[in-house]
Amino acid sequence: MIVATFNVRGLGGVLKRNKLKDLIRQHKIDFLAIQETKMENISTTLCASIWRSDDFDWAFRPS
Amino acid sequence: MEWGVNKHKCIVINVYSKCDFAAKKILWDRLVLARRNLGQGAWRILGDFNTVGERGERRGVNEETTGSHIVEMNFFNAFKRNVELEDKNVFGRRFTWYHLNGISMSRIDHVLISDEWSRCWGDSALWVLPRDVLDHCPLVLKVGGWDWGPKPFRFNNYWLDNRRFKSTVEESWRGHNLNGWMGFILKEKLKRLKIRLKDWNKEEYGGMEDRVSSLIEEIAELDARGRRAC
Repeated sequence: MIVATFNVRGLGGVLKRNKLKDLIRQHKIDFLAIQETKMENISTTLCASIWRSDDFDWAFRPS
Repeated sequence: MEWGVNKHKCIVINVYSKCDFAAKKILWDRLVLARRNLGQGAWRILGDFNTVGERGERRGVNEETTGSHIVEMNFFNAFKRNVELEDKNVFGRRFTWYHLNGISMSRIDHVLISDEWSRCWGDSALWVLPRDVLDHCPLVLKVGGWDWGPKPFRFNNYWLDNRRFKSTVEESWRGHNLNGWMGFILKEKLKRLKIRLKDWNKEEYGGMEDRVSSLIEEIAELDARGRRAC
């Protein structure tokens, strides 16, 4: 299992979302822990767009 | 969570720690408690701990270690012992967080894993990746297989003693008609020569590994005979 952690300091912008997508794809990451998303809500759609697959699960705590 | 076809029990805690020392202590106590209560499983506590474990993990800020920083580091290291998890060493770069001022940097992100995690997935190495515009670097825990990048070309001096070596080089060097400026032609010729020499080495000296392993077997056999003779 390949595991990653990343304090992104905000996940509102496209730039950081794209960075996450690249990170996941480049390093074939199986599990990703993100801190400081600064988001009130996270949707499955957002997670799916970052993970680029529908075979995943996620959990979230608002900041 | 349960992971993979073997349904390994994994316990994962994603940490974002406050900077305040009292709050950190509460967090660490809770983590130790959770570890004891939830018990067995492949544990992983990872994230931004906002804490360093030793002086070398910080530069530019609080470098003259005052009493309070030493106390905090001691508490953090005691926490790591109590929680019975390994704080993985980092590769790639020493620090995981960089201040905008370009002077302060520290290693405040950590990945702690249990022995059981290593038993399930084998040895792993924690890599700190480039951060580009962000202040934190992503950390990736990769299992097994060290990625050293492309294998470098190695020239073996014993090739020079081989009578066929010179003609092989000459053939490869003259064999390709290339167009372009001289620098490009030189680069391309060197590239093709490298490929040719790799193949040639295999043709001339191939099977070296088989010979080595059969020799090792022979040595083992001789050793065994020696032991029996004693």
